[in-house]
Amino acid sequence: MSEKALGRGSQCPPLAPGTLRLYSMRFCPYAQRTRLALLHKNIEFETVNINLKQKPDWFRARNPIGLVPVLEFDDKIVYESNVCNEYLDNIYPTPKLIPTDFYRASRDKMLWETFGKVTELFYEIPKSVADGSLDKCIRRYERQLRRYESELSNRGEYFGGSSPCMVDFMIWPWFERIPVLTIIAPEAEIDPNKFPHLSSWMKLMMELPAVRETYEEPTSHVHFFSSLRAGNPDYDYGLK
Amino acid sequence: MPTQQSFATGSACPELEAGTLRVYSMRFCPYAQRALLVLTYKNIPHEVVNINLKNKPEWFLQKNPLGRVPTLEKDDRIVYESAICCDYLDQVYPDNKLTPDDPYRQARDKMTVEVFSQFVSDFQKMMSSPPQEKPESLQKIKNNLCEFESSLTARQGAYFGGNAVQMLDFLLWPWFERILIFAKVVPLTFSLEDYPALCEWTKKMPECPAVQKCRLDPQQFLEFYKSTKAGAPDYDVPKTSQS
Repeated sequence: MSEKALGRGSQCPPLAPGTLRLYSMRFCPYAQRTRLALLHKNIEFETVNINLKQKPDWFRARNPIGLVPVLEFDDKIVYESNVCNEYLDNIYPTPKLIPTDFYRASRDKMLWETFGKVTELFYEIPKSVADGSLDKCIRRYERQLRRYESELSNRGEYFGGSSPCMVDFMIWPWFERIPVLTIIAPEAEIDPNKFPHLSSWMKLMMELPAVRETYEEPTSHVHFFSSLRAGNPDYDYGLK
Repeated sequence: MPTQQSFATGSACPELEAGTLRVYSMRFCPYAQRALLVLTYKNIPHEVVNINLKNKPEWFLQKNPLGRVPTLEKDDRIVYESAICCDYLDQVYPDNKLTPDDPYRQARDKMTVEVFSQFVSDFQKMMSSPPQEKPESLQKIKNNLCEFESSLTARQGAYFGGNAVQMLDFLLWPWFERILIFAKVVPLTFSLEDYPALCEWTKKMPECPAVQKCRLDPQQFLEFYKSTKAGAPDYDVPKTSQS
């Protein structure tokens, strides 16, 4: 299967019965959450990358919201990264990434459901550089990061303790993209003095096979992000 | 039992007895209403502490750094985010189960909730500005309503849960209750009559005892809404003699 993004006018590659397919985009952090879960669980799947600026009709038919990730398996369709990942954890429970204990599972879900407070700052920080409110923005960013630093300090090396759990994979994609932020705002760097646990965690995560397999170099992220802001996202950057 | 009056900055946290389930709430909050519907439907004993969301008590921010309702507390356990609270309650108190067992059904229901949160956002935008300024919001709202209409029709029953109320019905209801209240006093730019299955559902839901028990008093709600528009939300709008 080619990795090139399929756009308007393209044909939907036929899906063999019994094959799990992921509709994705190589630089999308939300799709990366689901790729990480699939890879860490050693689930067999194929990937179809989508041109999100010129979406094929057959993609919209599968997900009216028109976003990735989307899972397709026979007649089943699942979208929204948190829903995809919970579904995968139910159907492929080895290794289990969401605790079976209801309270612990709820605490974990709270961590990734409220991570939006961090991700929104990834868009606000560059804007704040332009309008002079960077300091205020960085303070908010650090306040939100402190929630995760504090939680991690109570849990262990990973949010899952001695091994990664769903929380680790759900939040990782943005930590991978911090080098894009620090080019415009060096203050966004995760300071090991302020965030010792998160700093160690970032190094540990980089050693996981699933993280390495989905990892894109900072230069690739910067290139993609610039192309996106310029209105012409380069979905196939780096492909031969 | 704590008073219905909302607790604000500088207040003392009402003591929570060991073994008692408390929900931090706000009388007019649709998200908090989700949790109250589930608690009421499942007959889960609980006490309610209302929070002044404009001037939050410091002790509340200790429990939930995001300072949002609903927040559940029992002994040393705290859960927040409305959908998470509802799921947690359904799991820990398994009688009168509201969530389907099948993982794929569960996933489809959660996807509907995600689409719905976009609807909530668009609806709020529409309510806060004249419709001619935001035609895209109106189109998105209509698209979403079509989605919910198809979703409901596909379930072959009066409810999103099919023949009986399920979690999805309670997760969506609070906003439709408010749409019905608004529709009586302001001209809405869309009409629920265009969505027959949804329309029927809005007539059936009030028959559910839990919906009745948790219902808003329309007058109080509109007064609260007016006060929020004026920038000074009155969380303690007095109860009228009828309620």
